[in-house]
Parts: sequence; C-alpha cells; structure tokens
Amino acid sequence: MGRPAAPARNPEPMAFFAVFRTAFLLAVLSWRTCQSEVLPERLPLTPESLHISINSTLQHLHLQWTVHKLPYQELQMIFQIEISRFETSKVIWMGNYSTTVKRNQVLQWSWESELPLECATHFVRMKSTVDDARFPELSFSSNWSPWEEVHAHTPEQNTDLIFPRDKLVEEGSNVTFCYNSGINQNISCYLDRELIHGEQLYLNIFTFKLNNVPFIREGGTNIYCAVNYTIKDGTVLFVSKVLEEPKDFSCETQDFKTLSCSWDPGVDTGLFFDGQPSQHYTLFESFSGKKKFCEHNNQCNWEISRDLQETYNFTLTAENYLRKRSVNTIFNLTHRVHPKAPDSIHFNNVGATNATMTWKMPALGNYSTLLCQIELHDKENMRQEHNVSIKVNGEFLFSELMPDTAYMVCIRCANAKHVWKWSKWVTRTLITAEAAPSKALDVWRKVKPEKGLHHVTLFWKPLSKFHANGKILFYNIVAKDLDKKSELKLQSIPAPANGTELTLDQGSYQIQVTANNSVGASPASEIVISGDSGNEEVEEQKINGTKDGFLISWKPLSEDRAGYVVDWCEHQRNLHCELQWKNVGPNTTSTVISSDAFRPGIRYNFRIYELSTEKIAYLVENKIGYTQELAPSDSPQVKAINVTSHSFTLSWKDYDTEAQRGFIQGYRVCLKSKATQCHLDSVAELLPDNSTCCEHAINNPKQKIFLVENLQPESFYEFFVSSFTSAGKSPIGTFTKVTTQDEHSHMLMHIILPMVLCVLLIAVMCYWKSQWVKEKCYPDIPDPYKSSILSLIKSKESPHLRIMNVKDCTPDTIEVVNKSEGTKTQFIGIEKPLTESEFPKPANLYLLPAQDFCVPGPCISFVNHTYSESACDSGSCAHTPVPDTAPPCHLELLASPDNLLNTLEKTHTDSLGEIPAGKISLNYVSQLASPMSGDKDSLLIHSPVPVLCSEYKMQMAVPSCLDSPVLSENGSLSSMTLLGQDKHYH
Amino acid sequence: MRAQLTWRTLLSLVLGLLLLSPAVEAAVAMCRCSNSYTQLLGQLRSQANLMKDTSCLLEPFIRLQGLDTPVLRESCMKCSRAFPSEDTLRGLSRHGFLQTVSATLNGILHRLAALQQHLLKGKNMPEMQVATRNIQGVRNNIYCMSELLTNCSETPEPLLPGPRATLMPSTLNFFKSKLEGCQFLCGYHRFMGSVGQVFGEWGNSLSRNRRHSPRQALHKGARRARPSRRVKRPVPRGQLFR
Repeated sequence: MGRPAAPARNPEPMAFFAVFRTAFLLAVLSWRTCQSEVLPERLPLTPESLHISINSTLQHLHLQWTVHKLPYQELQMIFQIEISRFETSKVIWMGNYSTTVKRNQVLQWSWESELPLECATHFVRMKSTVDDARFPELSFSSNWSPWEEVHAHTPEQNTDLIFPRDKLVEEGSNVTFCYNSGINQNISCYLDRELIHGEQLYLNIFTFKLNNVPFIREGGTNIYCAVNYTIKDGTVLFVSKVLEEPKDFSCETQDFKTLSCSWDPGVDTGLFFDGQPSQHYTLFESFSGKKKFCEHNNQCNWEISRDLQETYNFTLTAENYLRKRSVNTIFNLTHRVHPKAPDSIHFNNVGATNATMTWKMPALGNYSTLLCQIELHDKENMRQEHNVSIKVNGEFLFSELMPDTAYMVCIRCANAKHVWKWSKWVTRTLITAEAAPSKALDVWRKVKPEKGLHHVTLFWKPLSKFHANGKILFYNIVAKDLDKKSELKLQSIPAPANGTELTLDQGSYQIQVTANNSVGASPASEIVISGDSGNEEVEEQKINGTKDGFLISWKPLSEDRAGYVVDWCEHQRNLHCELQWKNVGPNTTSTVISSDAFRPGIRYNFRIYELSTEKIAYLVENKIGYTQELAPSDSPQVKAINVTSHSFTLSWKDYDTEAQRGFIQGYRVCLKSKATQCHLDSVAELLPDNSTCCEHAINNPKQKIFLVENLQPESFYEFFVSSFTSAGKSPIGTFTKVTTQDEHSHMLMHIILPMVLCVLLIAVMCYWKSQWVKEKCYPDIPDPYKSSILSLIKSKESPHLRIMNVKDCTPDTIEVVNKSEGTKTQFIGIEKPLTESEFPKPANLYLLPAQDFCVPGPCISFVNHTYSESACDSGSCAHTPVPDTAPPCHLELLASPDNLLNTLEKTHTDSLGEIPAGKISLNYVSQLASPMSGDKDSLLIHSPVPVLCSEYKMQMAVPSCLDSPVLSENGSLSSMTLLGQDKHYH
Repeated sequence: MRAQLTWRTLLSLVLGLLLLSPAVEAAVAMCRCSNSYTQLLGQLRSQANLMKDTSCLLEPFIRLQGLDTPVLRESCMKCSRAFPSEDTLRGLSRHGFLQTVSATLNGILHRLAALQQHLLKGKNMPEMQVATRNIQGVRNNIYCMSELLTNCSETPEPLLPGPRATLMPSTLNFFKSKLEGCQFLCGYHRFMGSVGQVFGEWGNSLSRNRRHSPRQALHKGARRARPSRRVKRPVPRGQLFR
C-alpha cells in the first residue's frame, strides 16, 4: 500500500560537540544507574508534535514530529507508524522507521500512497522504541501518539470526484484511481470508451487500478464519470513515452571554430500537458566545466575556445519531467575534423591527353594537412584514382587522357593525420580536346562492271569513339589511276556516311579513304580496283551453318597475300544489300562468321577474297548456306501439258529454288486416281484429309518436269507437286484436276477437221464466185446470145428461128402477157390470181409488185419519159410522184444505185425464186432503159400509189432534195422489206 | 519601352512593401474592398456556411483530444452559450450585426490562440490555423461590407457587449478545459451557422434597410468593427481554406 520516503536529516554537530556528548552520556548513564535504583518507571519517549502534510502531486504524506525529554544527546530509536484510512480502526499500513534521534531534532518521514490521498481521510499515529545497544535499559516502547487526521485539499472540493487530477506517468506504469460516487447511485465511470468497474473502498468511495498503462495520445487518456450522459467529473491521465538515451552522439568540426554535436533523440516524449513538454538536452564539457542548453533536440553547437583545447569530454543529458538520460563522448579535436567540400575547382591547360585541376579547401586554415582523393571516371568505369596532400590549395595534373572524352572528376578531402569523415564528393566534368583520328578506316568495296565501266560502291565502318578522337566531320576519297599515274579524283563525303559510289573506267585505280575531324585526318585506308574486278566467277559451294554462324574455310590462291576478306549480305533479297565484311589475316584459311542478324531459312552468300600485297582483291570462293534450313514455304505452280488418253506431263519450270528456305533436294508428285493401287514406281501416301495418293519421288532438284504415264483414257486424275529440303516438304495445297482424253478422239479430229476446212473452203469459193455463178446460172436478164438455148438452136440448126435484135425495131410498148399458169407467181401482196380482164389499161407496167391496194395483180410497166414528158407536164398524167411524206407509199432510197439494184434484183429474184422458168412470159414491147440507167431510182422515189397500174412515164432526174433525207436513213434492208413481205412499210 | 518597364517594376516593389506593412493594413483592406454588395454578401454567406461545418475544426479537435466517445461527444455538443444567439443577431440592424459578428470573431481568434497554447501546447493543428485564417477573411469582408453600408448612409451602430471575456478559458483542470474547448468550438460553428442564416436573410439589394432592434440604442458610441490587425498580409476576401 505505501512505502516510506527518505527522511530529512539535520546537519551534523561539530567535533567539539562530539567530545562533549560522550562525556555527557557517561554522566547521564551514571545518573541513570542511581536513578534506577530510586525511580523504577520507564521514560516516556512518545513522539510529539506530529504534523502531517500532503503532497498531492507525489501522493506523499509527509510526517514531522519531535521526541521530547530525550535523556541523551542522541539515541538510536525505532518509530512504529500506523496509517489508517477513513477510520482509525482501518489501518492500511504499519511500519517502522529507525533513525538516530538527536535532542530537539524535528524528525521527518514520508509515505507514498498508491491511492490518491484526496479520496480518503487518513489517520496517522506512532510510538517509539529505543534501540540503542549503549543503553539497553532504555529498550522499551513509548505510548502511541494520538491519531492525527489529515485531509487532502482539493480546489473544488464539492465537484471533484475523481482523483488523481491530471496525472503524469511513464508508459508501463501502474496507476490507481479513485472516485467518489457521492449520492449518485447511477454514476458510471469510463476510461475513454471503456466502462470502469471500480472496487468499493468505503461507502461511496471506489477505486480502480490501471496496470502497465500504454501511450495512447498526446492529449492524454480521459477518465470521467457521468450520470445519464451528464458528465460529473473527469480527469486526464497523461502517459508519456519512456525517454530514450540519445543515440549516435558525436561531435565534429569543419572549421576549428565550432564543434557541431549531433545525436538521434529517439521518441518525443512531449505531451499536451504543461508538466511534460518535449524533453530538452544539455551539453556539458567536463574539462572546461561549461554547460550549454541545446535549442534543438538533435544537435547543438559548441564554440571552440581560442586556445584550441585539445581534448573534449562531453556529456549529453536528455531530460523530461520523469526521467533523465545521459551519454558521454571524449575525443581529441584533431580527430574530429570533417572538412567542407572542396570548392573553386577549375581545369586549366586542357589538352587532348592531359589537363590540370586546381581547387581550394575552405575554412580549415593551416591547422592540419588534408588528404584529397581524386577519381577520374569515364562513362563506364573509374579510370584513375589519386591521393594528394594539401594544406589549402590543391593542384593535380591528369595525364594519359583520351582525346575528345568527357570525364567525371570527383574529389573529396579529409584530415590527413586522422580520417574522421571525408568531405562530400564534388563532381566536375572534364572534356579533353580533340585529336586527329588514330586509326585507318575499315574499307571494303563492291564492283559492278557495266558497259566498259566499273561501278564501285565503297563501304566503310565508322571509327569507334576511341579511334575517332573527335567528331568526324567528313570522309575524303581519293581515286588514283594507276595506269596513268597522275589522274586523281577527289570526293569529300560529309559525315555521317558509311559509303559512296564511284564510277571508274576499266583501268586500275587505287582508292584511299580517310576520316577527318576538326584536327586532322586519319591514316589512309587503301584498296585497289583492278581491270578485271567484278568479273570473277567461281562455283558456288553449299555450306551448313549453325545457330552460332557459319564456319567458312577456303584454299589460298597465292603465297603472296596481305589477307582475306569475307563479305556477305545480311539481307540477301533486299534491294539494298547491307554488305558486311570481315578481315582475316593472311595465314588464316578459315573463319567463323556470326551475326545477330542471321535468321533461319535465309540463304546467305559468302564471298571470300584474297587481298594481294598490292591491295587488289581476288575472289577465291563463293559459298552459300543457311544457319538453319526450313521446309519450303510454297509448292511449285504446276502446269499439266500434253494431256493424252494415257499420259500427261507436269511442268514447274518457273519454280525458284533459290528463293526457298533451304536447299531444294527434290520433289514429290502426288497423284490421286480411282485406281486403288499405285504403280510400281510410286508409293501410297496418306494425306492429311485421310485420303491417299500415289507419290512419285524426284530426287533431282533440277528436274522440273514429270511425265505421268500408264493412265486410263477418259479418267479423272488429281495431282500435286511439293518440294522438299532437309527440313521437310512444302505444304500441301490444292490438287489440280486433269481428265485424260478419249482414246478415239484424235481420230475424229483427223476426219472432222479436214472436212470442216473443205466446207469452209467451198463456201468461201462460192461466195467469192457467187456473182460469176449467178451470171452464169441465173442472170437477171438472160442474154440471149449467151443463153444455152442458142446452143440448142444451133444444135438443131433451125433457120427460122433467130433472135430478134432490138436494134432492128423501134418498139414503144412491151406487153407482158401473163399466162394463166402464172397464178402461182409469188408476187408479194398478191392474194388472188389476177386475170387479164382486171387490167383495164395494161399499157404501163410496174416493175415492183404493189400491195394489194396498189395493184390488183402483177402489172409491170416501163415508163418512157422521153415520150410522155409533155403529157406529164400538161398535168394529164395520173401518176405524179407522191410526196415522200405520204405514208403508206413512202419509199426510201437505197444507199447507192448498185445496192438498190442488187437489192431489187435480189428481192425480185427471191420473190421469183420459186417461179419456174417459163411460167412467166414477157412480151417485150419496148426496152429502152438499162437497169443501170437510174430508172430504179425513179421507181423507188415514186413509190406506188393506190392505183391499179402505173403508167409508162418519162424519165427525169431525181431531185437532190429528195435524195438526201432518204439517204440519211438506213434503208437497204428496210426497203427490201418494204418491197417484199409481211405487208409492212418501213 | 525599357524605361517604362523599370518604372513599373519599381512601382510594383513599392506597392509590395506597402502591402507588407501592418500600418497600412486597414487601408489595404479598404483599398481592396469590393464595391459590389452582391459579391460581398455572397462571399460572406459562403464563408459562414463553410465555417459552420463542424468537420473543419470541431471534429479534428475531438479526435485529437480523445473526446470521440458517446458520453463526451454528448457533452461537447452542449455548445457554449457565450455567443450571440441567432435571434439576437437577427434583431440587430445591419451595422449592428456586422459589428457584433466582427467583435465575436475577434474574441474567437483570441480563444483559439488560447486553446492552441493550453490544450495543444503550441503543437501544430492545421485545422486550427485554417480556421484562424478564415475568420480573419470573414472579418475583412465584414469590414468591407460595413464600409459599403456606411457609404450608403446607413448609420453605424455599436456592437453588443464584447463576448471576448466570456470566450476566454477558465483555469480548470485539463479535462474540463478539454470539454470547455470542445463546447466553445461547437458554439463557434453554431454561431457561424447563425451568421450565415442572417446573411441569407439579407436582401440582394443594398438599398433595403433592416429594422433596428430596440437594443440598438443601448450601444451607441461603441467602436465600429475593424479588420484584424493580426494579419500581416490581409487574407483575400473570398479566400477559403479547407
């Protein structure tokens, strides 16, 4: 429940009084001996004047008392103390306090209560016992002192219910609270949110104890009591974090003027409470005895005295209300030098390979020697490292630098005698000057002879930064004619370029290429183009590559050589060949060509050149290969030719074997047919669609034709040709279909074709000679002299029979007498036979058969206008020309008289075609006009009108105005139609 | 052209230095006052509505002090009565209202400073700083509104008895100080809500005058509200901090 506090002590008496005391005690003892014989009762050494005070903050009862009538100057005594709470009978603590008591001394003793003292009235009493071996006769106990009652004072006695008020403890402590419920039976007390169940101490006094309290917040933990949500009282328990010992405490100087001490303070123990601000720190130096209160909680500056005290012993004390922690450090000042970073760093006399760096060390003066560490880095690595000792100013010469290179120079310094801490690194950039390129370009060429010229493409690899020594500005190309010795061609190619093209004649040229930067040119790189460069031809050799590249070997051409060059195109099929080359030494006859650009299924062509000592390149070998062969990506496009009844031929001559993804080793011809078994020279092959085919193997990649034999006529076949490499076959695509021919079809062709040709020939001949045949066989107007009749007549030799010559008479009328049999005449439009009686005026004859409404029967008349012109003029002519606008009798002109004539003739011929010879008899009354004389035109223009019969009229010219519009229309066939059939007019 | 730029730069510099001077603070506030009654009123309404939000200050305070329990929160919400009630504010004339609000806000500023010192021991509570700046901004706007009303010949009136004394903390134990601070902040938010309500009832026209309350006569001669002189740089009138 409680524990005694340390008592307060009075000052010791002086030595003089000690001697006196001894004498006095001896006298008293003698006197006591005498008295004991006279007064046998005990001495009443009861504690008196007991005064009790309370320290609420510390929860201490502070007791003060005296012992009167002390028989000796001092006695060793034991005080038995009883403390009661609430009532004198409720003793809560009993204990002894042993001390040496001096006469008239005020004795003090404290007791710390766990329970807040404000919660209860306390009673204290005590009695004493002499426990002094010197005076065994005094070993008795006094009477108890009267009970002393004590009350804790509270500011608001009536309202404060909970104690202690605003208690500050350290994390992990135990705290006892009490509260007075007063008359409120429904009072509830809480610790933050938690309802507290207190232990009843006395009547309405309850208590509860918190063990190992944690830190919750800087604002403290609220403990309060309320009745029906009405706060009656509350208090705050402030729990502080435990003050930590400062860590990493150290001091150092950068200028020998100030020591800067720093440490890690750990947690902040400050609270929102006046009694516990953040902890503060004090620095104490024991040699000088100086002390400094630190303004910051993690560092403190200490001024170094002018006499430069050599050794320091510092004690750093951290302190808050509850605790104090200290750490110590002792050191020599020169061992705690932490220089500031170097400054004023400059580079002087910067050349291509060397430079001088200068710098200064601030603030340290000449008190100590400094060691400076210098590092030189390029982009990748540290190249140089140097240590330099200096006082204040430093200087260092860098050498063996690379031209035109950016270096990072880092420098830091520390005390040379005792390195405590290095200064911060300071970094500067040093860029060296440029120098002329140090290495000749790696140059190669490609020569293409054409029309007596050499198209030379030069390639070169850019110089590495290491060899370029600066930015390459341009490349110079000098071509010197070795035959003429003096002719020079100079080209300057601005950078960046890695090649150029030259056109040279077929002489020998020495070509020099140099790279140039701002300082100078690189050593020249030479190659020679001889007259026969580019014309070399060697046989291609196949090589096998691997994933790692190609192993290429060759045989030397000559003993006197400068080396070899192997070149190849990384992308062979591209238009722009990315020419790559590799230089090989003169004594090497094999090399491995590897490249990340190599891909499987790509054919690479390697050409090996031998370089003579004159820098002329001779092609040694030519090799082709794949890093990895793949199956062909496409199959040949095959044509079936020469299809017969028993065979056909397959051809794939367009298949480019060099473009495939591997060396083509041959072909497989797959043939499907209805036949269940394959021929002897083929094997059955199962296809992906589970069908089978007969596969013929061709193992010669150059054979691109295949004869398929032993087939059935008129049979259906399907075939497919695939190529194959070492990696496999090309994919199977669509089968091509072929049907063999009929076995006799060729014979039919042998017969039918000539026959058709003959017929055609005859037809052509007939057409060609049709006029002649017509004239011969079916003349329009038979020439009596040419008639075969004459031959008959002549053969009969009848003197009475002769042909009448027209010239012999002057007829004016021809009468055609239609015989009765002529009813069968197929005149168009004639629907019934005409009789002679139906022609009242048969003097005129129309050549053209009229429609039924025009003429009732065949009536042909020729009009001789020569004779009847006057009659027409007088208007007596009944058959004047009908205007061409008059429909149904409008006639169109034929395109030409010949056409018209032909048409008429044909129509007429057609119309009469079925008329047997002799059925129509013509009585030539007069025949003045030839059919070619233009009569037909007149006849056509003056189309038939609905009259019974036309008259024989005078001939006259057809007006052009009538010609033209009709001619503009296409009318030949129409006219024929008009003339003939179907009763239609066009 | 270059000479013009130089003069402008110098002028800007001088003006900038003037702006920093506390002596010219009021003048600056006045110079920067808007002549737009509607704009000022709108800003005051917005500021009041924002500042009545308990999440701006009261809730952070409750959390920081561990008062976020049902019982303690209940006690917190028994807001301090040291602030003029809404009815009281509503009964004032416009001038009287503005002066009363300004004076109350001045008292609040002092009380917040005391809270900061007593309950937070000067430790940083960002919401407290924001609230302080917002109050200063409102006071500046109130000053401008007063100027505007004065120019419109509304008679300045005295303010209500200074609530400053009643807003100061008593020397209680820490727990009671916490509760009192909490209740004070509750009262502050409620007061700002009342201010917002009254501003909301103001007409949008400057010419419309309010009826004077009977209390008006009792406080003649009282000082007019002045903008906060604590502000080194006057807070822009419309600026709100969250």
